[in-house]
Amino acid sequence: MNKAFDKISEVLGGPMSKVSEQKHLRSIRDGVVGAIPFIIVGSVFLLIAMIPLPEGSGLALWQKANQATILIPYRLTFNAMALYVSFGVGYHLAERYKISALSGGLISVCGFLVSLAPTLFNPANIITTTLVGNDATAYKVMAKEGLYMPIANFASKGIFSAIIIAIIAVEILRLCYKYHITIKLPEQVPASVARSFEAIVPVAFVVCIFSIISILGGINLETIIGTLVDPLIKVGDNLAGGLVVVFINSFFWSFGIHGSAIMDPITQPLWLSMLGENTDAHTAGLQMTHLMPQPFYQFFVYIGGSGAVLGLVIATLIVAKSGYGKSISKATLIPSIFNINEPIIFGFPVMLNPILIIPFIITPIVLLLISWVATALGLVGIAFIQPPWTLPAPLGAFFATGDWRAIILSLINIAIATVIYLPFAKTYDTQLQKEENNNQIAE
Amino acid sequence: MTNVLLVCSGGMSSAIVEKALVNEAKSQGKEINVKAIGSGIVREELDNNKYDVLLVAPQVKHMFNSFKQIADDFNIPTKDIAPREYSPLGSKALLDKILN
Repeated sequence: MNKAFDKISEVLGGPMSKVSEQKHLRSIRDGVVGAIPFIIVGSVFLLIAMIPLPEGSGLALWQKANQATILIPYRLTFNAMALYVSFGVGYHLAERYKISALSGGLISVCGFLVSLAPTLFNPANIITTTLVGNDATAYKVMAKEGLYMPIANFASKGIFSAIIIAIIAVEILRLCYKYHITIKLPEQVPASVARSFEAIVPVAFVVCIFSIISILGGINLETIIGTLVDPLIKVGDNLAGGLVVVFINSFFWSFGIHGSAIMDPITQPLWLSMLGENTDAHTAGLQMTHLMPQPFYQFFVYIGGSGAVLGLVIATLIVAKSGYGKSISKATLIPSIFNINEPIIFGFPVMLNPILIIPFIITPIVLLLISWVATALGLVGIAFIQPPWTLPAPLGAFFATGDWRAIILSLINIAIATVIYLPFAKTYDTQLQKEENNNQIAE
Repeated sequence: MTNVLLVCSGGMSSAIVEKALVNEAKSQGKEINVKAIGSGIVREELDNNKYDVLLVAPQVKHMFNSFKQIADDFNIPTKDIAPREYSPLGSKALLDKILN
């Protein structure tokens, strides 16, 4: 049995490591991750502005009166995520190409900004047409400047064009370096100065190319790329897509391959853009449309990390009679509560373990189904805030949705995961106990 | 003092293993220094600092050979971490593996 597993792991491992190490995919993943702190901090302001307070109380009145102001930091962090992603992806891709990472990040931001072509604005138009509601303060500030670029362009819907433009810009940078299409300064010039001059030609290329497209051509890349990735979003947005993602994740983990690391380049931008659209809808007082953004998976499905292994740890705590089962479940309880699953996955182990792989694949699927139905029926709120992934699931679920019922769903899911894992944990523990009795384990 | 470079996928779990390993060494009166890094920067790290052994975490085991090639360039041994050694309870076995 183990040999067969080793074989599969070897066959899968090779190509999968190539996928997870592929330069562009890896940079997308790292770049998106770089934007997460800004999204989380922005979420805090969103939470303050949006959290339900007792109707008519002093706090609620204060919240209502100051909502637009409280939301400004959110709009410049969370709601400007594409800008941060742009820098992050460009930075990491350049780093992987071993060219100046800073230039890579900066040239990506440049391409992204130019592609968004700021509009000359006529204060008369803007003030009479859009000076309404929550956004009034923001527009008033811009009216003094005369040239404007709506920060909505930096929001989640721009995330895909930010990624693609970053890749194009860094490729231009790389090709210019490779074929020495750069301005060279004499060797006596300090390296940092020389490097910034080297970037002049590639920057000029990027500015010209994207100016021609956006300013002269009047083409909005964001809309075009948005249309192109729309089918992807639709797939990721429905239940079947979610089930496929969850299955693939568990499947790879079963062989000890970091499942989420492989899926991340696709799922992370997708989930973030869904989250952003939910947030936009929520702050505008509209119906949220995406049931399954990132926090949905994190706090309803992957409770304790991939495979919902918190259930396994609790189940083992309950049934363990073997010495190893008892000590490993105690040692991994705390990490699992904070969604760190490697200690139990490798320690028990779950990977390459024919008994535990079954619930490891089934549990997340069951939890996804339950949570999707509960969300679709409106029994729990839709996630629109990004809490840190290391928050214990019930807390994270609450902060993500602003709905106390999410705590209950999360707790129910933990109970269900525990119940599914119980018989398997028992079987495996009995096996461990036998081994211990036969003195096959030294401890 | 043994300097250990641990290559993993750059997550949180390596910190747990790192800490367990250092504590285990301390309790045995041995000195060990562990640094955990993601899989993409092994060569840079070996270029910049001196290590005595390269450890490969189970979640990146499928890249063992490519890590070994790099470590061979620096003439240091490469060892893989068995799944169970990669947990808070496995530090004793892991320390034995490093020191022998």
